[in-house]
This record gives sequence, structure tokens and C-alpha cells, in this order.
Amino acid sequence: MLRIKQTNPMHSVQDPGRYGFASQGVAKAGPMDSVAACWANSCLGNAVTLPLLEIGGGGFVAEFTKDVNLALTGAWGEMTLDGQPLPGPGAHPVLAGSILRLGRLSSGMFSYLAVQGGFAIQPVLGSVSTCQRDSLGGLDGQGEPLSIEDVLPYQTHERRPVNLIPKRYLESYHQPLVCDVILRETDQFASDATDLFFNQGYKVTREQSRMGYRLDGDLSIVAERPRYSVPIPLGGIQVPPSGQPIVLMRDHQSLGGYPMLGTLTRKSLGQLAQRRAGQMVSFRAVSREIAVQEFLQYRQFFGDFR
Amino acid sequence: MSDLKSMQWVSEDTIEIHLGDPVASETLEKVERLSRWIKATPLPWLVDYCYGFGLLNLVVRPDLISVRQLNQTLHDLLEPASESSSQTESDLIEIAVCYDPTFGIDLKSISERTHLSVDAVVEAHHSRDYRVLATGFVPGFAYLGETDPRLHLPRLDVPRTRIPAGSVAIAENQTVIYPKQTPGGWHIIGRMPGSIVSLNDQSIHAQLSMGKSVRFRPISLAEFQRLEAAHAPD
Repeated sequence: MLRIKQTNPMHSVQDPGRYGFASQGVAKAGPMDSVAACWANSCLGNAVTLPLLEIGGGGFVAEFTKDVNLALTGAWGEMTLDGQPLPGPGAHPVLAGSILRLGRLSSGMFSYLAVQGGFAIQPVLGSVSTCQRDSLGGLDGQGEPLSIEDVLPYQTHERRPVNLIPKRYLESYHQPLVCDVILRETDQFASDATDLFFNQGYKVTREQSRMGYRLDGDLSIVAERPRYSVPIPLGGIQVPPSGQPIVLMRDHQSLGGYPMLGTLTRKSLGQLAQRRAGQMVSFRAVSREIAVQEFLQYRQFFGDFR
Repeated sequence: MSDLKSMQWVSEDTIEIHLGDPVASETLEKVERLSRWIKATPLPWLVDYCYGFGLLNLVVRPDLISVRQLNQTLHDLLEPASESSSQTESDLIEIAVCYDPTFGIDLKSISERTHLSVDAVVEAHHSRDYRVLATGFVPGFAYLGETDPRLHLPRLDVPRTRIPAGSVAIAENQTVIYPKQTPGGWHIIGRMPGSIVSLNDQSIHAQLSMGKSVRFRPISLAEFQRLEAAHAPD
């Protein structure tokens, strides 16, 4: 098993998420960066639906009690196994008694740790994904993040050579990001709203959580508050009265009271999730047809993608 | 539903369907019809759905259904049904509510603001049936409407940090029941015994879901206590 030695409230158990319960107000949850999470399972030969750990902000230490192969992907920095730096995102063999340490991150927000065969955790409503807001999922089923001395069971496996993810597939989380947006037709915005939105840069603010990221631009978007809340899709872009957009992340509420301008593609959403406060993002329109092609390519490549 | 603006793709896998005015009976009949269809039909391409105030979001598997097939399916469903789609027994849920001031902590202020007596406020709340206008916020939470126009009040300026589970509240043209203790900005008028939502590892059972109607039955404090005790876990 994996014994947790150091952790923080941004470390949690995830899988692709909880589906089929949105009509009853249950959040999807699931990994903030689903591409990086899929890579963690996929480079071990696992199904991408197996439980893994989402480790936000580094600061994680854990001990493996049995031989196995681990995979580490996503945000990167001082990553060591028994004091030796890991050469890069991908699969690495582990000996019983080894200590994995994620120190300070140099790029990105969320790292993903998987083991061959996955962690054995009891699902709640079809998923192990931790959602603190709904008190669902995680090790105890009550939505709690990891805590010190938690143990995550896994099956032992014969150690295999290092298998790094090819560089061409790796994301750089340093660069200014351009997100693809599927626009939503609505009459709640002033006529210049989309021009304003696409033609200026936005800063990621400190108000970022698994529910949503607040952005900050020089010019505010004027929007009329709808009389009724609307169902919101994952990645939806809401504009509150401040005129500064909020992008809705995995733990978002199913209904939103602010006008919605459009939706980030699933790929862009994961890339945005990896940006820290102060980093710049901008947006461009993409057709749903192009976006769905990309989505289906991921689905085919990983066997599943949500 | 041949009007294309009545449906739009809002993400790679989510289609938003406009069913009409959230409180119009024509809309609510469509909602009931769609709800029955979703619950009764095995739909491998349907991943999830969410209804709120005249808008239905369907999350689909784009590899299992084409845009054309989906449009056709929805078109057929939303055509006015030939047979009558009258409400069935199971669609109407009765919920007991104790309007005692112990629970209805805002009854007095509502009475002052609406110029109705406390009894008249309570009477106005339970003397009509409500429909589920939307679900969401937290598991089991449903927005019910419309309330008597005399009871329409804006939400509290400063939301309360803790509303007890089971609280029945009103704001604007709607009424709600809090499934668990959460913050909230609605005016609290009473409490229901027991729980509006039950959850185990495999399933969640929310009494109030898309397509349902609700009738409130006023009960005394003594009956509340008796029912609450009967609901308590062993």
C-alpha cells in the first residue's frame, strides 16, 4: 500500500468522475487536468478509469510498502524517489520501502500519481472522485482530501523499466495560454461582449479552486443577469456583475445564476487548470465540429476521455 | 421544435434544449414527458442530464449518437403527444411541514413585509401545488414554483451561514427545502420532518426531481416531533 507522510487539502483521490447524477445536484468531480490524469494511467497500461491521486501544489511525501510501477504526470518540479530526481513524466519502477517526494513545483498546479493496477478504493455513486462540496468520494467516501497516515491499498507488480512519456505529448504550463471556446448564443450580453472577451488578455487570479477559476481583465464585460439560473456545462464561462469571467471547473454547481458566454474545450480546460495566479490567458472561438473531433481523438487515444 | 435556436451545443458533449417559459404549464408538460422518457428508456449515449428553469442540458457520447440522430429523437419527443400526458399519482409528492415559529424563524418578518398575518402567509404557502422548476445547488435541492404572488420577496441581502437541514423557505416566486445544512439567502418559514434526500454508496434518492409536483401538508409541532422520531436512525 501507499502510506501518506506529508499532504495538503489539495491532494485527493480521483477517477474520471461521477456521471448520471447531475439532475440530482451531484457534481461530476474528476481530475482538474483530465489529459494529464489519463496519461498517468495510460503510460502504465492501466485503463484510464482507475483511481489515482491528484496532487495540487506539490508538498507530498508517501511510502510504498510493496514493489510496483508508479506513474507521475502533470505539474512538475522537485520530484524524487528515494532522494533521486525522477527524469520526467512517465512510469517508474518502485521498490518496497521507497519514498516518493513531490517538493516545490516549477511548472503547473496539479500532478497525477497512479500505480499499476490502480489504487483499490470503494466507489460512491459509481466513482471514487473526491468532492468536498458534496461530501462524496475519497478514501472514506465522505469527500475528505488525503490526510497524514492514510493508506491506499494496491496490488504488487513486477518492476519494469522506466517509460517516459514522449516529449511531443508533454504540455508546457509556462507559456501564455490560448483557450478554445465554443460560443453560446444568448441575448444577455452587450453586443461588444465577445469582441472584448477575445481581444484582451486575462490574468488568472488567486481565487482558483476545484469549483472555478476567476479571471481578471482590464475591460469589464457588460451582461444582464438572467431572471433564472441556467444549467451549466463543465468548462462554462460565467460573467458575474463585476464583468470579470469565471471558468467553471470539475466541482462546479449544476446551475448558475450568471449569464454564460460559452464553454472551454475539455483540452483547454485542463490547460487552464494548470495555470497559477498571475499567469496570462486569452481566448479564441472554435466551432463545435472542430472541438468534437479533438475530443473524440482523445477518447480514441486513451480508450475513454471525459 | 424545428426552430434551430431551440437547441444548441454548448460544449463538445453537451446540448442545451430550450423548452420554453420556466413556469408555463406547456413547458412543464414537456419536462414531465422528457423526464419519463429518460427514466424509462435505456440510452447508452446519454451520460448525464440536468434540468433548470426551462433549459435541459443533455451530456451525450458524441461517438455513439450523431447530431442528426439526436435532433430527430428530440424532435419526435417534443412534438405534442397525441395521447393525454396527465399527471400520474407517483408524480405528486406530499411533504409534511411544521410552520411553528420555532422553525419558521422568518414568518414574522415576512408577515410585516407582505402585510399578511402569519397564518395567512402559512395558508398561502400550503394551499397550492408546486412543480419542480429546477434541481441543483446541492444533492437533493429543488426549486419549486410558483408561489402565491403575495409571498414574492427578494432573497436576503446577506445570506445566513447555516440553514438547518429540512428547512422550508421562500424567495422570489419560488419555494425550496434545504436537503442538508448549508448557507442560504431564503426566508425560512418551516421545517419538514425526516429527510428530503437519502444516499447510500450505490444510489441517491432525491424525492424532488425533474417532472415531479409537490403538495405541502401543515403539521403541528407535536406531529413533527413524532414523525422526526420515526425517521431517526436506529
